[in-house]
Amino acid sequence: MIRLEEVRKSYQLARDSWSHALQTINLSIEKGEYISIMGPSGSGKSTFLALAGLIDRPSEGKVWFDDKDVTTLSDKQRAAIRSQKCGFVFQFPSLIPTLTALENVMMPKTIAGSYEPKDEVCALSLLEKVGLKEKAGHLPYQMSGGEQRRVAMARALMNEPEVLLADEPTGALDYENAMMIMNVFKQLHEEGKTILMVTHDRELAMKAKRMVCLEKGRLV
Amino acid sequence: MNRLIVIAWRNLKRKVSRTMLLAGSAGLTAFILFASYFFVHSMERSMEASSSRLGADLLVVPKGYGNQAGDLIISGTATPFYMPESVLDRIRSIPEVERAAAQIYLETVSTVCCRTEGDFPIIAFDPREDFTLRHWMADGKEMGTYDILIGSSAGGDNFLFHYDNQYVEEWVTLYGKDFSVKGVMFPTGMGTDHTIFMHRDAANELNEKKGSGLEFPAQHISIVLVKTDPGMESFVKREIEKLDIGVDVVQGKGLQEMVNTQIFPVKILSYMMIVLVLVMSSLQVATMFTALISERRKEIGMIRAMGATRGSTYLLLLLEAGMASLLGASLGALMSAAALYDNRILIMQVFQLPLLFPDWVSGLAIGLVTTGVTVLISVLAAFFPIRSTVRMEPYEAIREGE
Repeated sequence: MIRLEEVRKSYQLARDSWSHALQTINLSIEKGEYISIMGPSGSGKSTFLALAGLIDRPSEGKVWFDDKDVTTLSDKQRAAIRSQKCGFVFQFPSLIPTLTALENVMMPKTIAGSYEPKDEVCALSLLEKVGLKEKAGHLPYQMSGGEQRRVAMARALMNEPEVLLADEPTGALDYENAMMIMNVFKQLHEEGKTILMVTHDRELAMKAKRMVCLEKGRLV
Repeated sequence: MNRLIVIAWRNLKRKVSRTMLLAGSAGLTAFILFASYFFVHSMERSMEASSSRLGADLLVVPKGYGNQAGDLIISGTATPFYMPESVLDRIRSIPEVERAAAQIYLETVSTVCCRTEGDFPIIAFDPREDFTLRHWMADGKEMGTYDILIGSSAGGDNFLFHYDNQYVEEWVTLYGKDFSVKGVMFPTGMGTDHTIFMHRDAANELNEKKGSGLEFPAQHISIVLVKTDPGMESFVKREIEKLDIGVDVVQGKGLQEMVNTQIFPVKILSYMMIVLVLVMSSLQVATMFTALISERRKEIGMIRAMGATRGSTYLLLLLEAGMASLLGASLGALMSAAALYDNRILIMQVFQLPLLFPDWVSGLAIGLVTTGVTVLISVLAAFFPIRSTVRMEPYEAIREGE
């Protein structure tokens, strides 16, 4: 489903100074696969996820999505793929601070311009799935970090994505909240969704069906 | 789109301080803009009135007084020269004459007008036909037979104190008859500032009355002010001369041009100030938005990651800018209008400028234009800081926003 071919990603630090986040990555991810990406801090895990999820472009190489080279697609085309096929859960608090939990969950539909009143029912059922239906009207600051992460999870599922991309989804969460999120992943995997999860927690990584390790921007 | 408007509105509603900052900036801009344009408009309206006052295309005076005609209009001197009233009808019979109005120069009288003592030239005119003074009879104040108009130096400054108070009236005694002051003309810096204008019917009536002290040949007038069809001044001048009715015809264009030349720098300065306000406001909003967008870079990156195109991200953020500035600009314009209208007499007295304030409809139009321009400027100024973030890849925006 997703294929990275000779992918490199570099960032310019100064005039003649570059940081190579990823170096010659070749990796294929099959549809319905549950894969965890492991590695120490600064190994390029988040960059890898960003390239696979079409929220960044490689400096070199190609990224294939559903057998289509998406590297050179226009911004609009890439946004359409993200909107229809990808769901993101970030490692940081990623809710829009001025919107309630329910409004945040409905946001992908809103920005896709496909919002319909029935989506509210769908968003509520997703909040129920992550155990937060009763907090639908709460603003992010009125919820704990774990609850915010679970709302972000519900939001990522709003457009019924084929691929779920999660960057340290359980980072800084207590065990109970972390397990709740991992259970949702497991359930989604069983439903046939493709899951890419970045983590540096070996125990969590082991829950995936396949594990890849990155070190200094290379697959090891 | 509707849903985006709802989201934009919630973003504004739940970030009160941010919204206040944006709306406040727009409000201040609209306030200054409204006030500036209001002044320019008032001044232009006043200039138009002054111009009309001097703006007859042709001045028709008795034979031999042609050289003095322009000076008489400017100085407002009541020089007693007369010609038969029938001249007016003869001139009106020329098809290219758009309007023609007569005035009678009576005499200079020593009296007290609105607690101002002095020698005031008296000119009689007919408010029903005079086009040179009609602007000064605005605000629905109809002129009766025993009403007068006064120049700013003929007690006008004192009259302004109760300009809007219909229960307080100023009275002036002329030729043994009490006249009510119905309007004041603003300063033009010319002799006419001392003039008192009375109704022609009153002048004729007093002329017939024995012992009134007013005497001029019955059925006579001093000057005919003519407005011709556009571009027909010279033709009409020749036509009047051909009538052979014992008159001199003088073209009045020079007087108007003189006034326009004097006003031009003031107008340019006023417009320059408006442009400066607009530029200042644009820079202010752009600076503010640069800071706000920088603060929200991560949020923008996330929205883009969720599938928002650059276009819809622009739309959402510009809607926020537009709505906040619409709110602020409407309030700013409204407050400016309220402050100016409420204190218009004070403003006229303090500035000592020839200001004819716009009516409510023009005021509303100025308010709408001011609000529209402020919103447009805010949206344009917000566009550039937004662009710098929206052009980034979503992940880049998220990283930079962390």
